[in-house]
Amino acid sequence: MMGTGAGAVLIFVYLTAPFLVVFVALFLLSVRRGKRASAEGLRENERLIRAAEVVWLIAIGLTWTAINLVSIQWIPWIQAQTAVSTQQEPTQVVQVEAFMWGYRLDAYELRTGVVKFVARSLDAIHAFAVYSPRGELLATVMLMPGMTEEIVLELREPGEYTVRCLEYCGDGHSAMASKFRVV
Amino acid sequence: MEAGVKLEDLTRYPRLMVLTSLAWFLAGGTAGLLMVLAHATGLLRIPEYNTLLTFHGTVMTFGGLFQLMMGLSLLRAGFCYGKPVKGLLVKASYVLLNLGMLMIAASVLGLGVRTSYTLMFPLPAVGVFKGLWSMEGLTVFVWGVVLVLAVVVALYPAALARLVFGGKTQEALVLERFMGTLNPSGMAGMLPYVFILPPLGAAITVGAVAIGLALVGIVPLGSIGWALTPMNFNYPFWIFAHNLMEAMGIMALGTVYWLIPRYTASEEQRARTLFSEKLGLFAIVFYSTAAIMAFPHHLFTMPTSQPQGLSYTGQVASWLTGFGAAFSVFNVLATSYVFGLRLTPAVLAAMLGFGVYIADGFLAMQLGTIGWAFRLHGTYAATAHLMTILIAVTLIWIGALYHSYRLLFGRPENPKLAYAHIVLTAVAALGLLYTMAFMGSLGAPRRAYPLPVGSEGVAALLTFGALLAAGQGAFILQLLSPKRRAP
Repeated sequence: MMGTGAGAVLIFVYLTAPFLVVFVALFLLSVRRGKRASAEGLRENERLIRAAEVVWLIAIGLTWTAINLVSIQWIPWIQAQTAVSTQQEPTQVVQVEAFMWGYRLDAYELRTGVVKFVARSLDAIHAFAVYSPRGELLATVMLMPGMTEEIVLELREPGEYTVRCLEYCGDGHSAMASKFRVV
Repeated sequence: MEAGVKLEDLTRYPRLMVLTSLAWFLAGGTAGLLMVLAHATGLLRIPEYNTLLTFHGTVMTFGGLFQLMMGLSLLRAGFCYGKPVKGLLVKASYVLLNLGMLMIAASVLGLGVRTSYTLMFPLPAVGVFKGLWSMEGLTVFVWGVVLVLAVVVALYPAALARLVFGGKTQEALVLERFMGTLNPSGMAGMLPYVFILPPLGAAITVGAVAIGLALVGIVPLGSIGWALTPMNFNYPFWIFAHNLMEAMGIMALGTVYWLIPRYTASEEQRARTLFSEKLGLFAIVFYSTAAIMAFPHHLFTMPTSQPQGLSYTGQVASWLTGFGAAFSVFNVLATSYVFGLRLTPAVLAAMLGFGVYIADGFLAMQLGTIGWAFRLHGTYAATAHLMTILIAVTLIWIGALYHSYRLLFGRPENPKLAYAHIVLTAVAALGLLYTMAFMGSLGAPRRAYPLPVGSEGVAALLTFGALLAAGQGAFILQLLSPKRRAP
């Protein structure tokens, strides 16, 4: 869950909402302290703040490192490789061509399991973004003309998947989509 | 005043730049509001929306924010070092930036070039071959871009460097106690732009000039094939665009470092610096170094054609910029708390702008994480990050503007209007950030009209967009209100 787009935004809200509350509270407290007449009296907690500086930097360092390490398992091809090794399923390969403004796939019906998409663009920069039948964005890759990108996904859910372009490519960008079924 | 020295030498061009940036902001902001209104009502046709999309992005970033930053940073360097803000470099920066912007605006609004402000190369060329816009339109657009690049990459940093390192100080123009070129509460935040942008922007400028020369037939098109391959164009473009945003962010950070100590309540000498000047300098150096290495996060979603090692470098470097920001959060809050703050429009704008900047930084780090980037890149989450960082930086510069309001406009600001301007802008920025991040989580494609998914967020976008507009309305009232007597 945390590796999805929804999970990312949830974590974003969990981190930023408390930050903003504390930030604004400390700002207002600073303004209140600023109204005190004695300048010297303001520095009573300086030693405590020096200690807080060290604690803050260590906490940030540990949090940042933890998220970096945990997030490695959310990379699509690493997730898919795990699925391949546990299910021992043969990988299906689908060739994809993106153009202004549509997609051509060499297979529109796939089996559940691990699928490798090999995608390229024929004209401008496009994206190949795969949405699950429930509308969740599973992964997107950017297609630069002249280059081929491969993305390996584990398609567990049967149903109709949607492909969309997420890179602006002119007037047909919004409507640039295709569908394939997984049975 | 010393003989021959006029305050106007300090303020004329910065004031022109600030007022011209406001005009661009108004034009671009109107386009932005129309775009959101179109999402709600369907009032625009697709080409019209894409025209506004290109106009809005270009105008807000370069005509608006960049020009505001240029004017206020030159002013600050001028009155800290006691040097007039004039001369060929300053004049050329102002004239060429706005000429370039006018050419871009003409090519977009009049000649139908609608590539988005990120160009999406080779879309500009493909659009001509597909009949979406004309070769003439593209030529005007490219030469507009060349002029803007010349200012961003060469003329403005040269003008700033000349003020910082060259010329003679005229005591009559020294309006603030000098805090040191290498001090974070002094000029240190300006130096990364001066030293980093010219070398990192040189390649894209050369490429753009080569394309421009080929378009007008001065060099044969065949001889610039090297500049026309997508990777040869986009690598320098991403390196430039990424570092421009970072350098503008670092300069805004430097502005917070400069402004906050000037509004502390303590009269002590030390209160005119940050809680920790060493940590401040470390943050700027750390942030700048990490930012340069963070550019490969633009390549995360090209997993096969780009080296994965480069991607991991980009992820780690992106997170290291977060360390730089975390150092700053502590330092700014500690400075405020330890020495106490006097509430003024300048300090409120700088603090709220900084708060929004940091909140957006969390989303930036998520987009800079490979696992998440595959689910967020190209969606409204990316728009949320880019737009919020630009609004946050603008808000910080609004703090600098209120700091120098009397100097620029000859009268004090109306505090009530100023607070309304700042609070509405900050609330709208946060509202847009969360709304767009939510739309990104739904997979809403950015720069798409009509929205195939994610239209649930449009009502909130419209509400916060209107709040943002109301905030800027308060600033226009401020400028137009009759002269108040200085207290």
